Amino acid sequence: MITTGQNRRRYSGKIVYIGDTTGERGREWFNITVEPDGTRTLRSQVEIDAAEINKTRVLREVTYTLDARYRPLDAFVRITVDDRFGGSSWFRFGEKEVECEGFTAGEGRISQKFPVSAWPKSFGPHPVVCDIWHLGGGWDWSNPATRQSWTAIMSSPLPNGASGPMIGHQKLEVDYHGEEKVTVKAGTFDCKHFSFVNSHRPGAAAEHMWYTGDTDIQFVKIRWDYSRTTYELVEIHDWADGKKV
Amino acid sequence: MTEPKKRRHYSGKIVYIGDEIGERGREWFDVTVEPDGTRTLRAKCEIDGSTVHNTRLLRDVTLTLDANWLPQDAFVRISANDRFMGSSWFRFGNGFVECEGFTAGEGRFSQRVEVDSWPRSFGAHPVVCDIWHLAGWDWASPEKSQRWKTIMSSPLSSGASGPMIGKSGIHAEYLGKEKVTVKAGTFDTHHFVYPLTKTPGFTPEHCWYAGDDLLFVKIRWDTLKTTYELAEYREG
Repeated sequence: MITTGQNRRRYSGKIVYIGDTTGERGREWFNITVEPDGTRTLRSQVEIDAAEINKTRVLREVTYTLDARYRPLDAFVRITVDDRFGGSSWFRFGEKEVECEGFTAGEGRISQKFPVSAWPKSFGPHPVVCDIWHLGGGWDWSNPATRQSWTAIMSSPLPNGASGPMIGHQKLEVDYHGEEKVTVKAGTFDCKHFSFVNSHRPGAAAEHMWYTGDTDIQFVKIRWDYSRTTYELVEIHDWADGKKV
Repeated sequence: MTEPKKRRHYSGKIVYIGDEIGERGREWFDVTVEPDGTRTLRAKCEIDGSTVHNTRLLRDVTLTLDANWLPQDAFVRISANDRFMGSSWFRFGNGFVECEGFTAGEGRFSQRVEVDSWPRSFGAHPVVCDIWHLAGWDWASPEKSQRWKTIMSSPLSSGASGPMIGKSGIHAEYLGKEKVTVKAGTFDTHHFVYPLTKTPGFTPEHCWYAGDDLLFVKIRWDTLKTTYELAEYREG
């Protein structure tokens, strides 16, 4: 019997990274709580066994909190690269600056303050769940343009996120392709299809993303030819797009 | 070619059972152990309410220890009564502890505290960590009652303050081996007690753990009229 019940929603799931030639080469567990005021916290654990383009094994821990508008509030990112400590860093976001306090194997103790002209619209700590969450704070549905861009804060400029973690910034260019029905191992979902143009990365193909839901922006699938990998939702538990299960 | 995974992984769930109110909280834990013995805990704790603290709590902790169970770094985030309370990052070293954080009460703060040596344990307040203090126990010593210094993220029994650095001390007594049955199974355990005699009104906190991973099995603390039991456990 719970005498003083919890008011938050919570849901969880798993994503697998499937390389074109290697099969499963990584996996990501996500666990999300949403407080009554819409504050959202992601706990993510990511294992990358090896990659087509980065020959490193990665273990990544992310605890990332956003407000009801998907704007980043604070985050913790810890990475282990090839079974060795890579870095442990704490990020805090505001309307005038982003700050990072961390310790990395390469740089030692770091303190960063990065001035911004407005509260950052999105943060990329590198779980693929967060690739899609860029759209939560960044995409403006009141704007009819099907290509939009904004500057995001990143924890690493590498595709696998295996550096830092520390503050970086990146201009995102995003195309909206419309609605599609997508089937993955976890089920069939009505999705919105977007892609990152990736013009900043020479030779890189566009990263295509599909998410479902209006309130929760739920990851369904990513396909990125550059990494020769498809990322698919394989499990989801207790999720009902904004409703408590 | 996919490279073999080398780290170990185990996870589980603990329930907090109040004597009068039944389940009043729960804790999910997930632990990885790297080939070099580095151990990372991810814990999520929900406290619904209690007979001594009328605060609902959500706590996220990521704590990494080295192969000798010495704390390396940690992240602690707490929400109380559905509102942000604090988000803090801790780093430990030989002779110091530092904390960078932001709390609803104190705002942005930076702490650096000098200590005698590398702290032997860190109390981030998941009950898993209550037991992990006991990694500081010196089995080479014949003493059945031992004391050592520790660092805490909050002086409150619920952990509902800060998070920030607090210096504290552990006093533990070893009561021997016992077989203990909880919902997750029956375990051969070591039974310890924290006498907690320094705090007026506190009763002893009894702890039982199993194995070299110091797997949480059970805690009983009369002060909170609560039994904490391992309800689920998985390896791999």
